[in-house]
Amino acid sequence: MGANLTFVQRCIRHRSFVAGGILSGALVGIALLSVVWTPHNPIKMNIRGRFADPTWNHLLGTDQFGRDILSIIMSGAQNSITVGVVAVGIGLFFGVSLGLLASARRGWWEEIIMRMSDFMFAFPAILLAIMLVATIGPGAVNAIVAIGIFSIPVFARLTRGAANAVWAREFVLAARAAGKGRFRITVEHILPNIVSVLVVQTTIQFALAILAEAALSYLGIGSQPPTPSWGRMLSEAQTMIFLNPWLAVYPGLAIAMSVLGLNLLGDGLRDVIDPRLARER
Amino acid sequence: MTQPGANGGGETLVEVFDLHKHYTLPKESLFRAAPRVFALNGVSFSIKTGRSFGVVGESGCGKSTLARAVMGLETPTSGRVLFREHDINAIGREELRQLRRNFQMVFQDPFGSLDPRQKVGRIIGEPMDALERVSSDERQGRVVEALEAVGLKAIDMDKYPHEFSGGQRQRIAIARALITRPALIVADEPVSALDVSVQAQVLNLLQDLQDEFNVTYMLISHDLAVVEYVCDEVAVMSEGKIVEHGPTEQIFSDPQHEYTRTLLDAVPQVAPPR
Repeated sequence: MGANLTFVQRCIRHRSFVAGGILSGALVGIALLSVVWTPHNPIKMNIRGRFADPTWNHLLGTDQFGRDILSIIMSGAQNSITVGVVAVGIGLFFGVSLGLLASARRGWWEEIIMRMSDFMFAFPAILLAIMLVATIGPGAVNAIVAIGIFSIPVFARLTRGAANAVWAREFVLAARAAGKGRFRITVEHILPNIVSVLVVQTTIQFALAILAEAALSYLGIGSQPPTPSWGRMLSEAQTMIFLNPWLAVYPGLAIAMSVLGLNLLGDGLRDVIDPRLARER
Repeated sequence: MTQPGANGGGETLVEVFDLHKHYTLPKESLFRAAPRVFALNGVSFSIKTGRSFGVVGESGCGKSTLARAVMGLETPTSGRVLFREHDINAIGREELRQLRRNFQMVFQDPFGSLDPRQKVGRIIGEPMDALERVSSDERQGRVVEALEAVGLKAIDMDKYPHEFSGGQRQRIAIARALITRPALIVADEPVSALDVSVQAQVLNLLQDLQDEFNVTYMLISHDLAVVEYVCDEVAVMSEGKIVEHGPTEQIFSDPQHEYTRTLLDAVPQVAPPR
């Protein structure tokens, strides 16, 4: 029944895709908007107006330095998206390349690449990120690189598993019979057939990267003040949780909504992107 | 083992000499040698241009391995495969690529042998894109020609494989094999995944194409009726060896080897038992 629907129609009919799309779209929209406009300057302090209740002027009130919370949240979205895009970009590029290489060459290449990613899996990622940042120094860039490095084995393993399954299919044999080499087969047959798996994992890793950045910033080794960051907002709010609990609620909500939105989007995309799955539904 | 009087004229297209293929399986025990499978145990035959060659045998007898070895998709443990007197395992990679234009393959599973992410036009054009340099106009023309030759329409090239039935998909696979105008098409169980009614259509198509494009088939099947219908010569395989080989009529009317008789007896008869 769903076979004749266009891609767009399938998207609109998929509830979690729509919900995830709206949340993720809002995240990106807010981040873009904050580049050109925020209600107030997010780093301008006003000690006399601190802990203000929500008013029309400060829709979410102000924090312990009298900064407008809505403006900080909006700018914090920029930070989260940058971290997500760059960190996942690093993981995606190196992880997928390594996974495809392992799958195309098999033998020793596969052994070495997979044992190395097992080695990295053996350590808790966030702990290693902390260690890495501790050695090379705190800061947003280092945090991003650390998060990126630890998503490489995730993508490498996923890619290799999915690619091996595609290599075993008969159409790959047909491509070899047609005289195509390993590289062309990888680009023209393997990669397009594992895209849906990668897209889902990418959105989930994106969500994890936002969480990891929040965790590192919460610990004080992520992005440094005064750059607005949801994780650091949380850690600052923690000390004032009895004084003004709302300070912790806003960034927490922002993180939760972003992560939820990206996960829903990933789930929806998996169903929508694959014409075979769509046909079976 | 060429039978006297069986020559239909024509040059020798494929020659296979004493082909062996052994696989080493993963080790099961630390103290025993890894188990080996002898898929091919000294297979020799030759195929002449225009004389379709059938290979029959039960599953696991090595016939698919043989097909892949002839296609250069599997490196034999020993022995030689000559295509028009070129040893396909001895010539360089680029030479083999050039030679591939002359032999193409049709696979058993029409649902697995077409990439679900590519449109039919691209699937059919794949061997041409990989092996020849053609302009986009010529490419289009030849894809349409191949589609029409197998009884599909030009508009089908913009569809995806999942929009077709099993029989139509196998037609697409045959069109792909035809696109480089090969001299030899190796068909590995081309109809065994299809309904009986569709099987006959596809076999008829294979025969029509043989007359039209002058291709020679090497047809692998476990179904004796299929081989009898299409092939001029038959080789019977068992446990990696050819046990009997000759013109189709002779094998079917006067089987010499015990295994061939067992195979023939196993064919279900339509006539009711008396």
